[in-house]
Amino acid sequence: MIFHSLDFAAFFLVVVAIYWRLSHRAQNVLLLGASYVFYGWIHPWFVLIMLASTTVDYWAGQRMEDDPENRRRYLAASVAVNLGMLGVFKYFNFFVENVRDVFAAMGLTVAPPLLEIALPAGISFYTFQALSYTVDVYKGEMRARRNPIDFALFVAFFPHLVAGPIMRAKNLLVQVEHDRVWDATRARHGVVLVVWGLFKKLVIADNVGVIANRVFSQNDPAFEVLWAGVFAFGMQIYADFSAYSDIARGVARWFGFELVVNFNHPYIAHSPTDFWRRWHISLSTWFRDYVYIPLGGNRGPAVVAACTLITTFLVSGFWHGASWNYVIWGFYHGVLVWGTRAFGRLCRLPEHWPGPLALVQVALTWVAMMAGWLFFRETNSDFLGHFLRLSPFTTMEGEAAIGLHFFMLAATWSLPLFIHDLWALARERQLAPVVWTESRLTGLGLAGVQAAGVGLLASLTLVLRSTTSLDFIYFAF
Amino acid sequence: MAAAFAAPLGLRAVNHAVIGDPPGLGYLPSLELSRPHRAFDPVPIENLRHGRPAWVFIGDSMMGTRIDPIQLGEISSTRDELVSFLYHPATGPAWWYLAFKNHLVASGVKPRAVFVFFRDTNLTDTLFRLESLYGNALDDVALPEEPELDALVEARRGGWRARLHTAATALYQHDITTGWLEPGVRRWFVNWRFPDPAARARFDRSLNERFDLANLRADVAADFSDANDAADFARDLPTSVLPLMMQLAKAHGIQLCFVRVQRRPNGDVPPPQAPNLQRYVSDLKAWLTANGALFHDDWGDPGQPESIYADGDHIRDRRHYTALFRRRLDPLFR
Repeated sequence: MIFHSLDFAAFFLVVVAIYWRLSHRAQNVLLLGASYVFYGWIHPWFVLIMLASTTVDYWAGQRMEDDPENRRRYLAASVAVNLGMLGVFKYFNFFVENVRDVFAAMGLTVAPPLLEIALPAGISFYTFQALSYTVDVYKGEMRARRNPIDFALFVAFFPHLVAGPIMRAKNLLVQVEHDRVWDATRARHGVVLVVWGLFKKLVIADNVGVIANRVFSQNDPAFEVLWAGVFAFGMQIYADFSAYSDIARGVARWFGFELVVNFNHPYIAHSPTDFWRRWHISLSTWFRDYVYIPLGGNRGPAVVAACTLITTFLVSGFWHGASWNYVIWGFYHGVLVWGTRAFGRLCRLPEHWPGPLALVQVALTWVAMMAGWLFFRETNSDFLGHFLRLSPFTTMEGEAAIGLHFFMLAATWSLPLFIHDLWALARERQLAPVVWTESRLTGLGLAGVQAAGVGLLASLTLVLRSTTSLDFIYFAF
Repeated sequence: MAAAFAAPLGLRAVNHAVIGDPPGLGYLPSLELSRPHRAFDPVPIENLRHGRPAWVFIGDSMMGTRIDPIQLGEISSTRDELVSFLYHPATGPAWWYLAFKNHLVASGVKPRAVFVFFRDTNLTDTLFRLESLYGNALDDVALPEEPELDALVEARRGGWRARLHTAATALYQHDITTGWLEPGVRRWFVNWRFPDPAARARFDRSLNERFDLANLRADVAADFSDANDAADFARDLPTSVLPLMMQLAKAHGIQLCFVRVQRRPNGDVPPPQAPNLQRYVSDLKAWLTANGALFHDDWGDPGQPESIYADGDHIRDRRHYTALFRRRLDPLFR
């Protein structure tokens, strides 16, 4: 089931209407059943995959506590099952194709079978979430859970199931286990998040996504056209993915849950490191805590620390998809983060550049982040190689005008995002008008502004939504 | 939440202030309420009456990239008989039906045969290329009211979702706001950059050329249609335009011939067909022939290897296909 569908609207209204009439235990049972309906709406067998992951992690957690001598084995079982499922459903064909290519390069013809099965939506998200539980139990950072309903709901909670945010057991399980209280203010904020999310998805992401798709359907776009397409895709993926997170957070609030903030205006980051503190925060922190730090983090010699950092980004890139371009994308970011840190230390640059230079710093970071989306969007290595060799000096007459047209069109659709980001930047820099305005917005005044904003966004969504409905990009991961 | 549902009611007042009274209902009220429509185009009727073609071809780019009308006329007739096209790229069965009814039948011309080109399950997929911008092409072939087609569309869209959508559109009239606001958002830069209409038209032309078939990757091509694996002929027939077309053809003594084009093969191997697609095509053929129409299937034709294809399902060499087509359907051209 997808958020921007009438099916989901009806589903949500029915579930929320029943939910608040039930006791805490019954609420959890209802939410679990609803989550399985939500997840199995198109492919009911997806639920079986999730049940397998849930069962193994539930069992492994308890066994680690009951049989601490062998806890490493139970952790291994949990890791093997979760990563094994990912390997089969997400990476099996990738490995088979690469093996075939290697043999072909040696002049040998092998034709191993490929799996013709759909990738279960959200499998990368809920397996990582479940893994965080078993790892935390293994490390003794939390106790194993004994209530199967609570644990299953922690894995399956539908608002964030398919595309995050990836919630930690320490955070979400605690909310599952405690009584929830209806809070009208929290629900109101939830509506704001949902409507803003729908606007970002249907108006911004889908409209600029059409531009990106047009450009990347070309076999030989000009330099300007290509980079306008990359810009469009950069705005699309931000609007699309942050929209899903916002809607998930908004919907969760109606059930009394608080999901973590997943995006914090990443395009106003002042450095690549800062970008990763703001982009897909729940995944970045997951990799930090469960890959980067266990690998050694920034300890040890500089070369080792650099390798650890870049390896983490490579794994993160591979998590996104079974294709070499995602690995390259991860490598690009790894090198960028390491390079800018090293350069900053070498030149003794401050983390925040002073005065107006701060805008230059943000702009440079923005350009570097945008450029990286080329590696993410282009899955065909031949085209990727060709695009990297494109030059603005060989553009034919008229192509630059087309590129500028696409750039301006994408910028026009993205204008609300820019305004939102600039407001956030001004808030971060404590600009007086912004601080003053926000300090005045409390109580009824805030509610009135929120109502007006919601009404305006709802109207604009009806009017300007794209006629082409695109899937949420992260559904593919 | 109340604001989200109440505020869009203001769009009615905004519309009234900007464009006055809203345009009337279109010819497909079950699909779209009051979008501004272009007027019906009567020119093809005059052309048909003037040319009195012996053969008429109806279809989209599947036909346009396959048949060369001049060549076909030259190799088919010794009496200077003409071949006419009722053609529009990126159209579907609703357009083909309306072109047949409102242009060909309305012209009173009785060709020796009328060919309708389609792919796989398109013929009974009534909503195919009817929604979003594709549907605007229907304006040229639709009369102010098309109750039969509208009934089919309503039946096909069916269910509470479609009814809710129609009710919401009638309530908020946001489609009217979209009609005047969206082009402004989408086109402001072009209008500003090229204030001269001629320069603007040149830019639009270059944009279209940049994104024509030849510049698209082979795997995405212009052919965005995909086979409907869930197709079921018996289920889809009652809500398709086929019965209406057959009734009209019978009533006016017109011989219809439906041509299923072959999708892109792999070398010399025809494209695979799922069992349900084979069943669908078999049922389609049986129904058409039982109702007096002819059916020709290009699938598996050894004269159509991958090498004659351009991108997607389009053919690179129209002359090759036209000659082949003439040979394959020889009785209809004698």
